[in-house]
Amino acid sequence: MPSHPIDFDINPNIYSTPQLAKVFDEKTRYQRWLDFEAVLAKAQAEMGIIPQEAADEIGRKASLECLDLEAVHKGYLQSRNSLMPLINGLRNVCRKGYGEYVHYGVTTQDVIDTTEILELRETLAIIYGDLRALEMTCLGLTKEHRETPMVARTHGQQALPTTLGLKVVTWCGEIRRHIERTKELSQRLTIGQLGGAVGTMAALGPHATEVARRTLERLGLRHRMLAWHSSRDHIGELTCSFALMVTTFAKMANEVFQLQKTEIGELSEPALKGAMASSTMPHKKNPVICQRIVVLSRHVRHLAGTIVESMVHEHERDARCLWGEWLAVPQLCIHTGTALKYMLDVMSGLEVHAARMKKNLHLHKAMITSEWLLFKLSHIMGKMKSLEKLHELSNKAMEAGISFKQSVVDDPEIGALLTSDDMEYLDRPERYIGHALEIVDQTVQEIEEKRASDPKELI
Amino acid sequence: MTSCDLNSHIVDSRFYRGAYTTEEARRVFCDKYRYQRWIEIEAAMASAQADLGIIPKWAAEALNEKAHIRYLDLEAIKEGIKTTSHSLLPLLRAWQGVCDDAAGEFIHFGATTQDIQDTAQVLEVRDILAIVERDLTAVIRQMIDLAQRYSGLVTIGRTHTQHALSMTLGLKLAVWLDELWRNYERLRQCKERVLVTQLFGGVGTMDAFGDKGFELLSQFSQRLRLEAPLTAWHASRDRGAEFLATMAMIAGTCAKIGNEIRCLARSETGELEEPFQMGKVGSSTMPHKRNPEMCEQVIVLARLIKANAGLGFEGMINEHERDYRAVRLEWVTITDTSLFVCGLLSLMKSILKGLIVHEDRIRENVDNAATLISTEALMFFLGETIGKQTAHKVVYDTSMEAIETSQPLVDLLMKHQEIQGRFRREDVERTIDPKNHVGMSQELTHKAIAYVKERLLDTGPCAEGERYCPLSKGNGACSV
Repeated sequence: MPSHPIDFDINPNIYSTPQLAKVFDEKTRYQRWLDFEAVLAKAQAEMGIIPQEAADEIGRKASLECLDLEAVHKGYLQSRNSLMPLINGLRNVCRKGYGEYVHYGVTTQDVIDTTEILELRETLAIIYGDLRALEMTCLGLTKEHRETPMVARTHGQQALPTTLGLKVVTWCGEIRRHIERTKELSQRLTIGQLGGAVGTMAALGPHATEVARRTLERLGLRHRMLAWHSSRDHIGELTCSFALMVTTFAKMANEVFQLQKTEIGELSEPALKGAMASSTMPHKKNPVICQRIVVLSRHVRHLAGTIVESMVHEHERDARCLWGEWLAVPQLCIHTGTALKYMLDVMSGLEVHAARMKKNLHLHKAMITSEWLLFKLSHIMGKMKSLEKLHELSNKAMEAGISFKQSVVDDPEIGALLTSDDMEYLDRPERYIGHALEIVDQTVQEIEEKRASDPKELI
Repeated sequence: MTSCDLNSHIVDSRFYRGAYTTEEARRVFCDKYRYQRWIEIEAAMASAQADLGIIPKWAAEALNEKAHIRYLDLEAIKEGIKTTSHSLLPLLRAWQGVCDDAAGEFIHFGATTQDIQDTAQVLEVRDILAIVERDLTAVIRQMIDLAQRYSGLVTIGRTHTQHALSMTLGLKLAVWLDELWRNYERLRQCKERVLVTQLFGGVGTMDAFGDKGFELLSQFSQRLRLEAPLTAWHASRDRGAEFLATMAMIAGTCAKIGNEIRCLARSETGELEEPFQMGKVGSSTMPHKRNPEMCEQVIVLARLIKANAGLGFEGMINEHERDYRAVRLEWVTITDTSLFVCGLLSLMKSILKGLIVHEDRIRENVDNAATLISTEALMFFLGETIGKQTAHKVVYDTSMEAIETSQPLVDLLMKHQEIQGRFRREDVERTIDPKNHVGMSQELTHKAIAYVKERLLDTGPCAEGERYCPLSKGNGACSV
């Protein structure tokens, strides 16, 4: 009975990916909790806190297949604790009363926080891989369209000529910074939790620290003496970083969406062959995936806000904050990974309509090279005066419906000052791209150097 | 008051404030006027208390005589706030200082600070709502005129940024009009709930007013021309949140309109343009630029206003009987939203007043798009003979081919095996003429215009002209 679009069966994977759905799957989660209890018992047995036989028995039974899940389910209907019914399920299947040693001296939040980190570590690994794949795709596009001329726009209006390569390499720059952020935050994130009820480790006995260290080490995590039950900044950091990342995707997707407008037609997201975009307008080809990315990014930003709010814990533990995080974090991670997958789809199959780009560039070709003319003229009559003059001429041309070049040539004051050589750029706007190619080349080189020193996989 | 007149908030900037707010709105929130309101509210309470025998008549008269900040030492009040950290007491002490000793003892008799400050904030909001109502009405009237003027102009309807079907420009404007009208209704309804006094004492029990609490509240409210609330709302801040949310909706509608104009002003589309006059400069380095900057500023202001609406909801979560964490939040959110919304509506009026509709460009765009945007009609026409689902497939296949190969759709269609020989070319061509497929565009437009016009008549007149500061002298300079 899937009622959340993340879990829909008939039209699946619109807001999720199978890979990420698996990370946050309910049964996977409970199994992680059991794994925690098993390694805890093992560490406690090594330190002589509980009998070795008990740890062995707990280790053997700490698997969802061994438990009576129906009974666990009934337990949850009667209990408001998020962990106890599962613990009881484990306790009940342990022989010879060894079940008494399950969850010995730790608090519920130790188990749940630690396993949350395991989920986030897996998420980060997926995101990191996909992010690098996206970077590679965008670097490829940059190189392919290093020189493809197009018009740059500001305020929605045609501004000056540029190249598609420069536009795409700007995206690469953002993606690279997200990769760096991901690497850095994973260092701060992979710390487990084992502090006992209020972070004093009171019930963990004399070897508390060693028990904690060994338990977490078995899960591949580090231990810090200081509990973070009510210090959630690293969770906040991850979610803010994801929000930043998805917002970059939204910006890229919006750019494709805008440039796919019928009147512009310079880029299109890849279409599924035979897919019908509209149920009533047979001609439509819609940028659907790009719009989904924008939508996902809105959700992620709001969820990040909720999680940041959840950092304001009161006293040593605060369920009002913690539970807000439980609901928001899985969604946020799944939406982020989904948006990233979509972005990868769009960029891998991006259709570039270079001829249309050129056509649009030539639409007001003289106008959009007015800056070039401005500097040419500045040498003769000063920059501010030239700006005023050209501004006046361009508006005149627009009102009169003649070309800007014509209005310049016809002007009694400056028409005679310029030779036809001086006007050459006005007819060939693609030549006025400044240092675009150098900027592209140098940026690509810098990114590729950083790329070479990336680890293949994130821990 | 200080040697250097600092203006660090953008709404106070000597140079840029015009883009963020209006002088009229700034006057409502002037800090001197705020104190004047507080004193007037205290004086109104004293008068009502004298009428009910709670304090002596002579005391109320003496207090009213000095109820003006021109008598007070503002510098001393400022120092007093530093020492006491209290937002109201230094003002009251200064007032007491200029009244005779006996009368001064009856100042602020049984009220709590928040009673006075909340009531004053409501008076500020009342002034703002009057401005907003005036300007929103003006925007609605402008929209009626525009929708009327362009009710028959055929244009392209777009979905997913792609040309979809034809419609009239009037219908697009009528949809805006309809939305603006709903906001107008929201505004009127929100006024009824928001414009109330506050006078309940420390925890809302009216204890210090003896058995005269209800009567006092009623007379006090009458004097201020506000409604009396049922219970104290010191810690019940839905009124502030509703004001902020309502303003956010008004701003949201205007931002949507501004954004649509900005989209349709793109160089490649060129159908609408915000007003332009010679001398307006788009870029400091690209002489040709004509930018939709007013529309963009409307969107900027709407974003700021929207963020405050979120804070309004936060401010609803109060603890116990009073919670300053909410009230002090409103001091910023309500002020900023008010200032911004007035700036936004003023911009909106300018945009609509001089909106440039490039009719020739609209016609050209429609002509170029004619074939494809009439595919729905074509499908239904062909469907009558070959079935609608089959027609969808035929038109889809030929449309995609037309897009890929840049061949005319009608040519491809007439060659299609399902079509060839079964239809006449001129019938197909007539079917795809966009003029024939604007549906009920015009009727819908006229219906919306008539609906709003009729109700505008019923709403009665609203304030006209600019509001001035009561503290100003004839020449507009401050008298304090």
